[in-house]
Amino acid sequence: MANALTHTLCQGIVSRLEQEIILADRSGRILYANERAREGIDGEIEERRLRDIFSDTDPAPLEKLDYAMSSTQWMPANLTFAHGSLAGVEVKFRARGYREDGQVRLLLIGDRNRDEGFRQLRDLVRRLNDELAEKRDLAHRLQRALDSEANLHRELIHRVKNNLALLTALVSLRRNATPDEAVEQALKDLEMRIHAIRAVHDILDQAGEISKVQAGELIRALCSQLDNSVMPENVTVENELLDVTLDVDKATPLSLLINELITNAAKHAFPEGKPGTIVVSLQKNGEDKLEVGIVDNGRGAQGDFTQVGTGSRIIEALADQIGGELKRVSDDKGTHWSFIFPHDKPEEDAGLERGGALQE
Amino acid sequence: MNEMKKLDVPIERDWFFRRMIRTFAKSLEETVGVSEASGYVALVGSEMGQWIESEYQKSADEDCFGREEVAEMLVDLKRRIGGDFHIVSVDENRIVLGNRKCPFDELAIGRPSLCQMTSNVFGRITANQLGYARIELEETIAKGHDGCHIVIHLKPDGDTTPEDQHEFYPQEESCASE
Repeated sequence: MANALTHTLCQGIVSRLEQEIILADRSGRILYANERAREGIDGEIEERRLRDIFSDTDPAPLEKLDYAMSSTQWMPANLTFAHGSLAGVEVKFRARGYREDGQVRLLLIGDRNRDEGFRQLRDLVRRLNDELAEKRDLAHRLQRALDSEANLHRELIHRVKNNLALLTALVSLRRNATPDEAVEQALKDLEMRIHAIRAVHDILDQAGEISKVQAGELIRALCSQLDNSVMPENVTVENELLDVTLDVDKATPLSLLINELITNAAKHAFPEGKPGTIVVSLQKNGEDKLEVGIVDNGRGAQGDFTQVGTGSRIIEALADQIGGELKRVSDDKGTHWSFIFPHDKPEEDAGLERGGALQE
Repeated sequence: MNEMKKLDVPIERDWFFRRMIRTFAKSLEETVGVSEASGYVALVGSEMGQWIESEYQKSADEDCFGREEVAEMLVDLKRRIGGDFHIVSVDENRIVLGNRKCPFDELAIGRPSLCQMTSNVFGRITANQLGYARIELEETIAKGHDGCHIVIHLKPDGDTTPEDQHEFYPQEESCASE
């Protein structure tokens, strides 16, 4: 069997091996390089030395070849081709010495397997980097789209706010022109309801927000507006407000609801100039609920609040819309409205802020 | 509360470094295999051997040493680093050394790649001084023997070398180089 492995066959096999194979003499002169190794050798190999074909930018790997050449033990050698199609490519070699006819030779064999684990790791890192860059680009584009949408939304809020202001002015103009007291009152109620909606948009517009409103700020602005428009001089409005963030979907009906309750108290609780106070509060009720309280020390209300007037039907509808529970307790010492509703973002609560009296 | 510096903890510099080298060897063997790890250790051993040889040359103010002197040098250098080597025999064909204590102590047990350090230091010095060396590690503490039995062949034995033995040739400009 050994005879079958002829010198010619051996040469043919070695010549076509995928690994680089280089044989050099003691002085570093190249005696043989297979086809793969010749890709890294620019031109003929005759009279070429290892120092001619491998980069000596870092001379240490070349110097270590002397150790490998002086022993038959395989040693690692990382060498970088300086020329040819493999220029700049670092190849992991295994190197060892050989003794033939009293002469010592250096055998270098490319050992790509030694680098395979690192290569796979590099490929994986490169792939992950590419994916990361792609995802970053996508995130950037999505963010720009979101920013653009938010800008459009803010612009829309601004226009709605201006249109509501225009609508309020038109209603106010008509109210001032009517001789009929009932019509005037109806228009006044309408005007205040529009304003309650507008207050939400004012705050959104000022904060540059599109979906979240600071509830304390909203109720304070609403109280201030009511105090300046419908509140008789004998009535003081005070507030105790927790600063929490509300979705605009809840803030708008809540603003209308509070507007109705304060307006009702201003209209009915203090007849004939009787002095009194309306206290508006917002506080936590348990972990995931908020409670709005509207308390007056007026004369008290009669009957079931669900049985009377358009305002009451509006109040009930608004409470249902928010998904809260509205209660009223009333006696001759005043009326206490309590509205408890779910709050999805208790972590955004900023703490209890107590406001002062709004009375002039 | 314990006063740390008064505790009887077996940590000191020499032990620390020996343990560190053993841990390196273990990591290498487990990562790239014993054969590849031996290659890395051999590279270090060759460089160490060359350095140790030059230290003896400078100290003795001589470049070249005879067979017996080389054998004594190998025993002496191991003694200096904590080994307990001794000369079994020296003749024109081989130097035979015995050892009862590895410089790595019991840390060498199960870490055969560390033997390449000794093999390459001995091989490098002997080949540079006497022209040729083939190291045969007949018995080693690393492989579980009670001691080491090392044969340094000074003459090539035909064209074939047993797989577990390594030949060493003199480096250029060494004492034995032509």
